[in-house]
Amino acid sequence: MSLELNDSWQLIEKDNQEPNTFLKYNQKVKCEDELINVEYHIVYSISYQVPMLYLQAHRSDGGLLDIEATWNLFMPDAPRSDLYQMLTPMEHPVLFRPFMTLHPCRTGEILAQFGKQSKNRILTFISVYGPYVKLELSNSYGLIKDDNQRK
Amino acid sequence: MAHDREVLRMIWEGQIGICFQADSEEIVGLRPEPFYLMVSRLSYLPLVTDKVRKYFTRYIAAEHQEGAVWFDFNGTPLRLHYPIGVLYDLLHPNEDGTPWCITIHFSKFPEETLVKLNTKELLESHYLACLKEADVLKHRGLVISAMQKKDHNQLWLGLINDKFDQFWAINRRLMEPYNDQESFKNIPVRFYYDDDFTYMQKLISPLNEAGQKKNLADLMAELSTPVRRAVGFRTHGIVLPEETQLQWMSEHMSYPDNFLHLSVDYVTE
Repeated sequence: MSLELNDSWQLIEKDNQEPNTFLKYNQKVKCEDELINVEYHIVYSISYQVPMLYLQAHRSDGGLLDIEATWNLFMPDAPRSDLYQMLTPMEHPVLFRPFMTLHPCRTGEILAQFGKQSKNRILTFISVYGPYVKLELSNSYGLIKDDNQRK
Repeated sequence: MAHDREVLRMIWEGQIGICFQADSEEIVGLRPEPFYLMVSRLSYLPLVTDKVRKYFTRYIAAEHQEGAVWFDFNGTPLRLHYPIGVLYDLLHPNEDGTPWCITIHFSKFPEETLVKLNTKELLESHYLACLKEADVLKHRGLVISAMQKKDHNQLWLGLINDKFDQFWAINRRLMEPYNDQESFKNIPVRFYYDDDFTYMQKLISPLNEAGQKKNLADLMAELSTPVRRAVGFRTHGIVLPEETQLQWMSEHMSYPDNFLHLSVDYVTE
């Protein structure tokens, strides 16, 4: 399966093709309060055959947020025991550097619920999972999608 | 079915002798003697180093004693979430059977290189994530999701307490083909190249197009390109015979995370 990426003025895109079917794509977003620089990567998981969201958060002094701090940033209210099941440290499958990732075990199921309506599984994926980690898509993405379909 | 129990036993009992040394920059006062330990190839560094940590803590400056512990071999930080046997085989320190000398650090955790899985809880969640991923490959995730939380606990406790029977009572179910199938859907496998901690994952079916079980010779052909030919595989410190069937290997030679970790030898054409 190939992944199609819609480009936009809002995304800093960096495609990076490994010898395998890995496709990488990243985006930088600033979060308020402490001005934390979060880097999001959408990586295709060979095993699960779904996109996976990886992220890395740095403080303005360059320090990396550890898992506790990341949990606090995104999901301050969720119980710790649940978080171990959701957002955990993992090695980035392409870069082999430490990242945090959202567990992909249900992604397939969730994406399947959208049936044939979703022309772009990546967009659907980001809009479903993104808000949990403050990754918001601009509404104009919906329009871009329509444009593409009209063509 | 995983029924060659003697093989499972031998793999389980594989051990490595490690000589832990302190980081001289962290030591206050007298330099401690190294700490020697036999550890299971299948375990993970954070699971077997409680004693090592306790031993060295006495010699470490107070402000670092509670620090996140990590290890290096000749300057290479060791990934905490790779099985020890995988680390050892990748770095193949010395062939002469002397202990593997690695250095323990209490400060300056290399956050940009090592995933910080320094607590048992984080390592357990990582381990379960690997099991799930492996089961998705083998059985579309149906076996692991039918298990209960206590089964997952039993696997983990079996691994950390080195209890073969406790572990295999559950793992057996993960290592059987689903329903009346002869084999897994795909083989959970990670391919490593020498001296490098990166690996490649690919969908590898245990069967060829004619429905026959593939062996390692078939896998070599599958991984070879016109410029680079795969010529051999190693795991658990063993060079594997070409005729070994993939399905059998997956059932018997996988690490407890249910993945085969194979080092691949290549020759450039």
